[in-house]
Amino acid sequence: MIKASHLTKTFQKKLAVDDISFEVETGKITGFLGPNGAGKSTTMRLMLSLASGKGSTLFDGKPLHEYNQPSKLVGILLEAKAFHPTRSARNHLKILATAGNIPLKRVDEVLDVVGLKSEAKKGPGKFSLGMSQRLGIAVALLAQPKYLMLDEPANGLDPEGMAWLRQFLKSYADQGNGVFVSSHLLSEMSQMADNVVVIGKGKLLASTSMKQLIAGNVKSSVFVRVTKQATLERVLKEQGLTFEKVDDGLKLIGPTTDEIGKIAAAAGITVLELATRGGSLEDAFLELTAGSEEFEARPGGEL
Amino acid sequence: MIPTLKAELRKLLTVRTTYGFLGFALVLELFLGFFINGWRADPLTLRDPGTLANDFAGAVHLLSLLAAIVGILLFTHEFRHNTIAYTLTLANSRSKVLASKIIVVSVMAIIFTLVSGALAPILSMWGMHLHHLHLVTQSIPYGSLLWKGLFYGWGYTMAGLLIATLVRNQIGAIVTLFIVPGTIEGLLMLWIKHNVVYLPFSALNSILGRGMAAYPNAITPFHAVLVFSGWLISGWIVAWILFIRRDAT
Repeated sequence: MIKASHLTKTFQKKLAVDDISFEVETGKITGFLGPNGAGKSTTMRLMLSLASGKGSTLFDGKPLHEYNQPSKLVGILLEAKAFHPTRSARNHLKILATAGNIPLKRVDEVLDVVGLKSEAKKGPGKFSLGMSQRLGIAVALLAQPKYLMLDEPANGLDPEGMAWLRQFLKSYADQGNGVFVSSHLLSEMSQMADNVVVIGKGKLLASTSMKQLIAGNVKSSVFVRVTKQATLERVLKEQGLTFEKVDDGLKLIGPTTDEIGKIAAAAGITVLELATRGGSLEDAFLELTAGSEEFEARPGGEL
Repeated sequence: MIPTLKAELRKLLTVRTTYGFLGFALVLELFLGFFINGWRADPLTLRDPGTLANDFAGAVHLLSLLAAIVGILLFTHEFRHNTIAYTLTLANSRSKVLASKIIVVSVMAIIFTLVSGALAPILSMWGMHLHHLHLVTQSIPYGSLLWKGLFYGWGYTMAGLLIATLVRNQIGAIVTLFIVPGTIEGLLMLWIKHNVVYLPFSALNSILGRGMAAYPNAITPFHAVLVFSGWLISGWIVAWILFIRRDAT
């Protein structure tokens, strides 16, 4: 388990990370979410002692620097374009394998895993963002570490690449490893993360399971689409139920699909669509981080 | 420590800039050694018993700048291309990383100084021979020339690496290396006169007897070594503390 305790970082007088504590379990994918500028990258750097600050991070009970071979413990991807542009991808990996005391045969293995074997002799300076991410993932996988810490690994990946990454990380975690991954792609995260750590303006907003995060922050609703909407609206009002008009139907918070179905049937209204709409990670994220955005844009369309 | 050392060596040997600068040094040496000092050697030079020793010292003095730039690039590439995060995470001690860089750059500087120093008189003699010029019997103080040349080449390269460690910015480090020895120390010389030999690069020049025409005997080579070493050690203590404490960005 990775146990981050009281991580704090100040840039000049601004508190970038404010006393954050959380855990990353083995066998699970822990998503790391937060608006732009929330302090996600800084937190990851603090965990790896790449940034100076307060607090501690223990990897299986010990700080990273107390391990003889840190590469076996944690593999990182903090920036997609972290390579010398003209040094070949293979040489880039060879250097890191050498530094981490990792057998050089792993270099070609990981290039194969991420699908870059044919590009191994090329300088990555002209790689697309997606290819750069794949090279970064290859670096993280070099030593087959127990933990992966990946900062926005899905950025720039094509749909096939994202599906591969999702499956790969799931299977990596299923093998008993821990994966700590940040992403802005909430739909991706909702499909792969078991646990979630959410921060906003440097503060910890939630550290829980994905299910609890959604259940605790978003109320599920019932959507109903009928042939005689005006009639249903009147009946619902008579029963004291509140609703909201959405798309070509009604959204109700509170009653179940069974109750709405029975009301419609009693009024002789044909139901075309009746479904529970559970809260999404995006809903939960927006609810949780409301007011925690570092950079807030104008409402849509306003220039 | 051994894996970190090997990795630093690989870094040095797998970038084009290393070969670019060392290749440029060879071209420069061919031009200056073979053509200027050899083929076109003037009669005064041909009658000087210290010509070949001067060629050695001249080459070391001129080309150490290129070795220093190679050292600067080895260090600053890490920060420019953000590979420093990998380097520091793969090693369990920042001190080991810094020590490895110092050792690898030192070895490169010593080999480079020996090769460039030795090539200069050889190319010079070759040029003279092909142009049928005859050099008087030479008096070469091998031991003295060797230690002074090696110390100068190593010292200049270490100074470059030190500046890179302190500045961390590639352009900033190279500009500093160009400005401090000539411009800054040159201007300070107008103010502190012969005491300029207590400044790092002037002390280093005094060891090789180059670039100190105004105050040729202000300090002995041995004392100059002590002065320069004092600066270098002090600088490295500061650089080491900063390297340990600074954010790796």
